[in-house]
Amino acid sequence: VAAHNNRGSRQRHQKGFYPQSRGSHGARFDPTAVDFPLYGSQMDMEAVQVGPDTIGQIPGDEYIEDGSLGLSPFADSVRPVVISTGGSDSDGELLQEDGYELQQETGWTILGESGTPGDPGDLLPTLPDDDYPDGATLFNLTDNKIYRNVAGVWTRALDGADLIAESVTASAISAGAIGTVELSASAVIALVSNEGGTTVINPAGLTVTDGAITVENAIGTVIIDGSTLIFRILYNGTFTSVIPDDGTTFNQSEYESLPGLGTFAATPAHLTYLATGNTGADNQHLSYFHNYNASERWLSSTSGGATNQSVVYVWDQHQAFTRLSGSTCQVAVNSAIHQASGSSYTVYVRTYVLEQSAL
Amino acid sequence: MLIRWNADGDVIATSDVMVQRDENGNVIGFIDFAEVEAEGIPLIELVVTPRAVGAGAWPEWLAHQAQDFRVEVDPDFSMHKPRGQRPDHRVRALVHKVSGYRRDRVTVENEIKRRIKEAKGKPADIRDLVGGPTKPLLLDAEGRAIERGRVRVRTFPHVTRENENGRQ
Repeated sequence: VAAHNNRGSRQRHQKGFYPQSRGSHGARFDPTAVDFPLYGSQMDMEAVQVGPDTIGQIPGDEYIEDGSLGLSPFADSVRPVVISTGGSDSDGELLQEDGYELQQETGWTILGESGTPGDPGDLLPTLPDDDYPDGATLFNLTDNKIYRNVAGVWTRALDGADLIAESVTASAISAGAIGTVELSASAVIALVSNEGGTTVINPAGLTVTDGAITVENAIGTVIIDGSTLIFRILYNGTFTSVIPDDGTTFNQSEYESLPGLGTFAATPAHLTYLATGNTGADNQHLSYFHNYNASERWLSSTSGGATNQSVVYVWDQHQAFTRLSGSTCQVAVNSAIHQASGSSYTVYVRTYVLEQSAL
Repeated sequence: MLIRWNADGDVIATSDVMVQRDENGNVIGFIDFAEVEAEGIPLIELVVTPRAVGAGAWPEWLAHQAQDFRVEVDPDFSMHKPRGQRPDHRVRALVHKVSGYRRDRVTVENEIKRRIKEAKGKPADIRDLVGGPTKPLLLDAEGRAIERGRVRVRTFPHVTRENENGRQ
């Protein structure tokens, strides 16, 4: 903790902050009170007999040579302490150590637990105080926190910029403490769950219960408005309808049942394509198509009468549709053909069963 | 993909996707045909094709092109055997009806495993290998998979939000 208070040796009284007693080294040495042989005006230390009666009677600052004491006189658990001074006019003197309070004149102060425990602020000197100018720092043992005088107010706030980069781990942040204010507007958030707004984004997808998804394209047109209904594909598959060339089959119905889709109360919509070939390049007819002869055929308007009118001759026609068998969806293709082609006839069916649904 | 075949073994119908619904009619997902088969549930009960005598799952999406093949089923496969005591799959190959070219299941599945291993935990891209419900494989006249080829297009200026806001 930096020490930078120039309070000097002034004594003060305050709750939790004790006045200092300088020079409390104990009794001063009194040469007349002991039975030491003196030799003139200077004591010959080699001649002094030190024993139990001299304990506490020899003033070190007068009879011990400066710098002559080493560590050996101290027990292993006791070491001299050097106090670093911060003020230019401070002498760094240790003023008092009473077990509760340790104070150095330089302004680096530890406030003790003496007094009434409670609000740490009660133990702090009231500001403004000339002894604690702006920037003065105290360490309070009551709450074990460092206080600084910042513009006349004690604060224990820390500057986040002083934290070591990327040193704050998840366990150092309270659960649920981070809100949307702390997040960047462009933040990518995994597993977002906003239960209040019933919006949930999770690995299984996006769920919006009470809201509406709106999507705009590049030119600002709303292409998904959250209200318009769409068709959803329930089933997609292919099958064929083969009409044999047996000379007797003139119409045929081929179908598939889709019990895997469950039951339906109403016949579902569909989008079914019919083709006469099985390649990707074959024409895809939407649910209905017919082949007709380009040349005309002539009919008589009366039975047995002479032909008197022409008609377009239809070779075959096919129609796809959905229907319900009980409550099971079926996709069916009805075909009507003529029997002059000389070969079987195959219709290739590709179907989508649809359901009207909200997005 | 789910395929059905007739008494001659000719594929006569396919199913790319079929949704599964809950008791309220809400869609809860796609039916996994391969898993249904593995569970011992007859696939022929999902889609009933009157002329079909059998149904099975196939790892590739071939759409209508599958109807150019006949199936080769595993003779040891039986729905009545419990899982683990019967072959994993019922259809083990598709054989082109004209060229005789075989599309062996084990070849496809081994290639899928190899790509998954190479991906080292990342999603493996097998789209060119098995196609997809909306983009089946493209086969030639003999039943071999061919590349779709790149689409040649001209690039025209188009509107984007970026250049509307003055950014390119």
